Amino acid sequence: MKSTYELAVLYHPDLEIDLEKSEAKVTKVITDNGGVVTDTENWGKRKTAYPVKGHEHAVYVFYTFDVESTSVQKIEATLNITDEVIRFLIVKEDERAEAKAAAFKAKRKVQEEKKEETEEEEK
Amino acid sequence: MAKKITRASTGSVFFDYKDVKTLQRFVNQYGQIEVRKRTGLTEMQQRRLAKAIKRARHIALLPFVANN
Repeated sequence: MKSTYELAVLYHPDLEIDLEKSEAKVTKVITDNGGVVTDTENWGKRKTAYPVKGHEHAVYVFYTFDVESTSVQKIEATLNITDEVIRFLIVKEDERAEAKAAAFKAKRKVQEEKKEETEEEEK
Repeated sequence: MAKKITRASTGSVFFDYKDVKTLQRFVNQYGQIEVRKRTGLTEMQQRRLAKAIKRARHIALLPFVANN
């Protein structure tokens, strides 16, 4: 059963120009292990809060992908030995909490709109 | 002590480790996580907040020790 994971990757800062090659490498690692990348988010070069492996900057890219839970370890092992990736983090998001929070936010928006309508009627 | 930040404490709150702006509001000037008394969150929300902050620190979005 495939589950969704999020992968946060910090690439070497000098790779900012030709990032496609290293990005392809990372997506290849995921697809080789039977994963399917559903979404990518590229924040580009950013200053890091503290030097990572001696670099003050890094290129931040986030991937969401579905994969069998057994092969996550293999992905981690391969990413550890890729040099372009100076740091990465694989996270399994808690869908229930996310959905609850989103539902709550939507409910509040509806309440606020109702409040505004009642105020307009009073005027 | 006045509550520094009260987020939607009634409803369920989800902290995203990528969302640096909101996480920064729960970190003091030294980069430490605020105690529950100051964040005004419930215990479950505070645990989720701490988890998100620690993840953000790992990928260098937040500092471990703020150098100011």
